[in-house]
Amino acid sequence: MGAVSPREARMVRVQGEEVLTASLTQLRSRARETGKTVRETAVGSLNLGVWPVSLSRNAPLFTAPEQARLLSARAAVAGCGGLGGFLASLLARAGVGALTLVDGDVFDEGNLNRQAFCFRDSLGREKALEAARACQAVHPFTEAAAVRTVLTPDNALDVLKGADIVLDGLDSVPARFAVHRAARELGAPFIHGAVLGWSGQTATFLPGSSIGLDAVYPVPEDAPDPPGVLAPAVAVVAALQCQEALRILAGRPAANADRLVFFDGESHTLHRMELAPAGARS
Amino acid sequence: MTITARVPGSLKAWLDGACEADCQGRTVGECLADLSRLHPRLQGRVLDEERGMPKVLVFLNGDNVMGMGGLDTPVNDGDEIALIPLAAGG
Repeated sequence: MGAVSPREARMVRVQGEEVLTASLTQLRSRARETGKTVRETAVGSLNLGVWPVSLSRNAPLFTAPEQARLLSARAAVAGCGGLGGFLASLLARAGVGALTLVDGDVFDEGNLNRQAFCFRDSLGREKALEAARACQAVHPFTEAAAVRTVLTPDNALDVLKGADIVLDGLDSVPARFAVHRAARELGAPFIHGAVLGWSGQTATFLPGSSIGLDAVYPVPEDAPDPPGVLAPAVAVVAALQCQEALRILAGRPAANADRLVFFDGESHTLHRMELAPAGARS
Repeated sequence: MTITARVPGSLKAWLDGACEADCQGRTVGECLADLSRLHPRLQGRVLDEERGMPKVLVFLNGDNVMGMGGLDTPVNDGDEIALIPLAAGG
């Protein structure tokens, strides 16, 4: 069986609870013996109630079957720059098992102020590849696929195929519309995120909802100049998006469906408002 | 009718350093036009005159006006209008 059994597991205490754990060495060795991947072995172990040690601090927050669902899931991150870099990192850390990381761009000096995977020695390197490399360096069971392409209405469906959820790390309004349309066709929830200065916003669009991205952007056009964006605002918005994605992938109800949460970094306030179909009239 | 308009801190420059300001009007559109007259930095940033649409998200007492009567939505004394900017960076 491709799993570490409770009999072989080591018990640790987390937040007053006993948690059965398997080390990375145990998981790797069982995967080798059974011809399974480390990810499959970790999922099999979780289904028996045995947590990978590297995820054991998630144990009070998710049940083992919920964490198994996270580890079995694929999340697509559209854009691997500011939001996308933090999103990929947070999803990988939390134990989402498969990531599709999409970006056709390379890092430049102007990205250093806010993009998690941009360093002086990564300038000129492809964002999607750097993100995938960094995510795979966290847990050995994370399968991160880099897709080095610019998302367009023509390719979005193909690129995002197989995703259980799609997260918005884009910096272009038209690209967001294309990705949201593709997510809808795939039946995948779309977790929108965007940043402006010290502030930013997120909204969750579930596949069957009559409310779409046009409730946020009345006109699907970009402003003529890129906005100023501060790293902490990016990190806050990505964190909100990631928490929502984890809830949904674990099988819990969305916290923010058809609502816009606007984080104001200058006053440290969150504004949560109901979205309405664009152009609706009562 | 006196209406209170609120903006998040990131937009307070639009209201000359304040996060809220009073304005007058019978509809959301009239209130926003009055607000733009009182605070000239709002001009061109809130209303798309050509399309007759707001350029930002506009909520009346917490509800998106696009789900009501848009800019023609009537207001009552003491109502609150919130303006949320269109963030698009990533």
